[in-house]
Amino acid sequence: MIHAIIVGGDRNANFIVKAFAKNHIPFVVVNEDPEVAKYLSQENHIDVFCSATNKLHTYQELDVKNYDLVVALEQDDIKNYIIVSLLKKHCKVKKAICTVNDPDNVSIFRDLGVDTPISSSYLLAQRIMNDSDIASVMKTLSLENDNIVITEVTIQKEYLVAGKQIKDIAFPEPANISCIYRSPNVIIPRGDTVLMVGDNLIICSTAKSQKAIIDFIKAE
Amino acid sequence: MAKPAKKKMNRGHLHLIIGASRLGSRIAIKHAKEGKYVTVIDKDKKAANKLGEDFLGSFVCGDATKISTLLEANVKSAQEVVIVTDDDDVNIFLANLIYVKFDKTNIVVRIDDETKHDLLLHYEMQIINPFISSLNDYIIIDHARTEEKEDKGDKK
Repeated sequence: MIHAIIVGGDRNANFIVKAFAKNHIPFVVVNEDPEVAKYLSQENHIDVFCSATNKLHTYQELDVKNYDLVVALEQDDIKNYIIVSLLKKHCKVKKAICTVNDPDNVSIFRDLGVDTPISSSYLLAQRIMNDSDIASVMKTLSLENDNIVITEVTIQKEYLVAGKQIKDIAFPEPANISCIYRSPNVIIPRGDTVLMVGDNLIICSTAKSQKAIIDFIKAE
Repeated sequence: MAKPAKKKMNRGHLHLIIGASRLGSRIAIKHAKEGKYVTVIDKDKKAANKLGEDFLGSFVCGDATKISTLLEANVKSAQEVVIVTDDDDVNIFLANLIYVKFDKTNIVVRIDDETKHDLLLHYEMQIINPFISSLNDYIIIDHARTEEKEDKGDKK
């Protein structure tokens, strides 16, 4: 069971609080705006600690040592960086997620040790790139700082791989078909599994090899 | 926009000053008078006035938390970076950013809040803390007074 601390934010904090509560994840909430603190408290019937979010004494009073996760949702990117740094350094919080307004800060924050900086603009751009570069039947999810990608591909009847056994498909780069969704069944593929038209393949690969693998699957 | 230097000066290693506060501008003026190559960054263009008419260094008006501003100020060739804006959090972020992105460790950074001193990512960075400096000044004054009293007592 993870223990989380949610810092700052307003409506987005409310959304996350509700999600955590629904999934029975223990959490504490800190907000320095008295109005927002009151709103979060009344909406969710919880105690909200109202104190400066970029000061160490706030977290010492809360006793969040060794918590598993901090979610920092302040509007100011640098404030989020300081919140995350204080909690990781002094309270040994294991993982940090924070929002960033400036998409350029995503890579900078990663370099500075923030595990998961999230920018809505960055995600939007990434999604647009994915959708325009790759056919609309394919979706991707990036993991581990974009190094690992999971790609979802729907097999079309024109594809050369349709009707072939997996063992006969020679991918140009290392890749793994982790799972096949063939409505209504989920199939864990073996070498003799045949790819059928309409199959949804979940493919795990490195980000670098993704394009070559998709081009290969799409070949007609 | 970078303001070109008015006179030919020592174009050796750069001293980059971020934040033209009273402290930042005094440091910049001192270095420039010594003939050192100085660039000051501040987001407020009026801050350039603090440097005086005869300041021989350069002034870049911009947000130093942007990589583009740091590059415009020639951070790559900086021998020393002095970060003295009036915001501790910005100063810590900038120090760590310049260390990680540009591999600089000769950084002097102002941090008022002692509980944030250890957020710097490299041990070679030097911290200026006005409260500790003032306290040390007071201790020296107090010590001198005590010695003075003891001297007077001995003479009696």
